[in-house]
Amino acid sequence: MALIRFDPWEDLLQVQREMAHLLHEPFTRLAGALQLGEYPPLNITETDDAVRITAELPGVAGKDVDITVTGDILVLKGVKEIQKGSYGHRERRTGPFSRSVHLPGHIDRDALKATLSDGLLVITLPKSMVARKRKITIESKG
Amino acid sequence: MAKKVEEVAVTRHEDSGEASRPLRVPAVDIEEQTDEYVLTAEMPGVARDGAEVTVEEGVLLLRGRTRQDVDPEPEHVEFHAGDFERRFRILPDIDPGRIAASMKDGVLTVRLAKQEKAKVKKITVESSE
Repeated sequence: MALIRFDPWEDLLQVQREMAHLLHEPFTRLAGALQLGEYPPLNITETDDAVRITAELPGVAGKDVDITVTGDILVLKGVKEIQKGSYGHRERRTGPFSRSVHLPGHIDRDALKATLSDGLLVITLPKSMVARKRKITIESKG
Repeated sequence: MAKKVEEVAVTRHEDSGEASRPLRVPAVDIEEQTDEYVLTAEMPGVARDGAEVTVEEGVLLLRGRTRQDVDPEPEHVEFHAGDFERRFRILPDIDPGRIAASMKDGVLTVRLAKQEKAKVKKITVESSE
């Protein structure tokens, strides 16, 4: 009968290796699947002529999303419905959601545009003409 | 209920040098029905032609390439516009030849049919009178 060498340190070293691996995984990878934080997540970009809000809403139909602007507050709300079944495993967020965004003062509210495709909602808020960046040509005299 | 589709330790794919954007783990639901398992993975920003599903040596690999028009460098960031990737090990009661996938509104749906022998059969109890 072959003897199996008992090495308690090997198990501990294995745990240490696994911990080291976990710590080197970027946190965002885990947070992405767990969907921590406010829902839906928003990204906001400002360009010379517009402010663009992008929200991740996979599996949500356009008719279930409501966007309103009151004063300088934009409210995005709606409901995300997932068909109920016998789920063995659930990670996807479901149910009602609501986010509000404080808009900068120079937005042309009447020109707001929103599109939802491939689970991404893009709200484009053009800046009013006064707020746009202008380049002024310097004339030479003489 | 015993989990029939288990996740394999997620590993970074090392096969391409173009992986400059971060990889994201999609949120997944798995539902068991009488003759199939339905797996849904959230991949916002991935169009139908950007999704990829492969089965190799008992491992189901889901991948999604996000559209290029997603803002690359926003001022306010709550999500990172990277590509999606996740692997699952499929157990022997799934027929690898009958896996179907579809993509709608940024949700990838994969239907994994059970092998004939794995399906629940109902046996009628006869009376012996």
